[in-house]
Amino acid sequence: MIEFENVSKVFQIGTSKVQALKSVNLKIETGDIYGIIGFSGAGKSTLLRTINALERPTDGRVLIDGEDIQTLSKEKLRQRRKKIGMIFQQFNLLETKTVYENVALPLKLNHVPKQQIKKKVEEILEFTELTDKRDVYPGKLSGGQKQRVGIARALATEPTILLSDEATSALDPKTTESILKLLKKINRELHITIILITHEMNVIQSICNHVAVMENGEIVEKGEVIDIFGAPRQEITRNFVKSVIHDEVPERLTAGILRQSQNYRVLRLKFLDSDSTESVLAQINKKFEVETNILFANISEIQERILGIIIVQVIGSETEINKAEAYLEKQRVGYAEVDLEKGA
Amino acid sequence: MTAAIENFLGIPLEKVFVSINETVYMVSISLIIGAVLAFFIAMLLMFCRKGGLYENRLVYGILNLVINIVRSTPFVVLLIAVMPLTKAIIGTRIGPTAAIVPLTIFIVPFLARLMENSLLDTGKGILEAAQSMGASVFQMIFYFILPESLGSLILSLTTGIVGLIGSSAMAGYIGGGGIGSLVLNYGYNRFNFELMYTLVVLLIIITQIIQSLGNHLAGKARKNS
Repeated sequence: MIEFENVSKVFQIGTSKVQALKSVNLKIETGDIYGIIGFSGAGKSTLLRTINALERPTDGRVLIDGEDIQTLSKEKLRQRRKKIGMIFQQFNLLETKTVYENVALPLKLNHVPKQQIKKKVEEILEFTELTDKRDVYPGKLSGGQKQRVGIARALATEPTILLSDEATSALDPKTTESILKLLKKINRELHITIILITHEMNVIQSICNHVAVMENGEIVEKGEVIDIFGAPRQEITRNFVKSVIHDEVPERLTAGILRQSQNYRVLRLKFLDSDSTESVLAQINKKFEVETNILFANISEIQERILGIIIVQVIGSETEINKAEAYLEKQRVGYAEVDLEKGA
Repeated sequence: MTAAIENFLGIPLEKVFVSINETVYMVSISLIIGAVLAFFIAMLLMFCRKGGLYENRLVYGILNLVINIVRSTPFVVLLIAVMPLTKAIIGTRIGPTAAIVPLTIFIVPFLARLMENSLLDTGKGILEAAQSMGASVFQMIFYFILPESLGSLILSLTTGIVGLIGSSAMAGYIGGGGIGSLVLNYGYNRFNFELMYTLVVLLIIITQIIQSLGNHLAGKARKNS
């Protein structure tokens, strides 16, 4: 478990002070894939680096399994870091060493006997699907392959935590997907806690179970990914969610509806793991004197759960619409009213 | 054959070989001492510089100042200025051994500056990776910085050797010996232009060979190029 307790960091740049982290509190459970999302300059990179003490907080504590990493002696810290793997956006591989030598390097630093290194490295290369690239220099590899080497190198010392610093940001979408799959496999099969920072919500959507949203050095929203996607509270979070679930009613449609004279209400419905989506709407049509008109619908898979979002126009008298809403509540369908003039 | 060449040059071949020997001696000794010192200083510069791993403005500032002072002193002036020191260390001010002192003093800041740039090629990212693996400072230098910057370091050294050969010729002017003094004393001063130009061509060839060798080794060290 990793705990941030009131972690603050102030950078002194010339005569001015920049507060990179403002009293961050966060708990990351063992086994999590915890995503931290934010725009560049939000402080996520600094926060990530406090975990292995590449950055030291000016205030507050970072505890790993109850141990305050900042208080460790130099030597102890070096030993501790060996159990925290790290991968980078720019890979940071040694260009003058082959794939094998790159992966073997952390073990060499630990004075592991040669035979053992060979066994371990080959095992990891197998796991990361790099066996055929064993004797190739990084200069000859694609971005995705380089990141695999980075990951393999980070796994060499059998860490319990893996820090990912924008590991997929320099990669194309398809390669990103394969790297994310690998990270998921690492989390599942090797039981490694992963903390990743990114500015891409699709990364969070595809592998994280928890997410924290950062803005100006603060965590403005955090929780389970499925909850955040279903009901983002902050403006910035809504925008991030929108980048993958574009739940806006097209403008031409909105304009048409706004011109209509009949009484209506627009509702945003949220379904979780449910196949009752259609039946709920059908029931509303049947039970009440209302007509429903679907303006937007989206189904996405998050953490192997299904999140459905439907924006629907309910046409009818106020009383009937109220009854329909009461029914939705009874059926435990999350809903919120949408003001079309302001946008969904 | 030998007689014909000696006739053309106007001096015994023996003298040429002795002077080549002296040049090699001066250049190699000052290069070895200079390179070790320069590497150490370059390391300090890299670690202590702004944004470096062990940022230390005082150390960086002092080293930077000293390097700039020595680098901006013309070598001929430096030669004479360090004579008392040469005398104190070597016991004499003339001869190839004596020339090693000013040559070393000249080459250390020159190489340190070049090597600093080479080391900075390694990039902060690699150092951060090294730190995240729990590497010690020693390991960081020998497992990360050195192999990654080796190609660039070899090129710096090559530039250093070429610079040293040039300077060693100047040392010849004040009695340092070597090819330079042969060119000046037996060629230029005695109007023996056959000898002078032959030796100049010889110097050009040597420089070319060293540069090509340096480029080749640097390319090999870089692997990916």
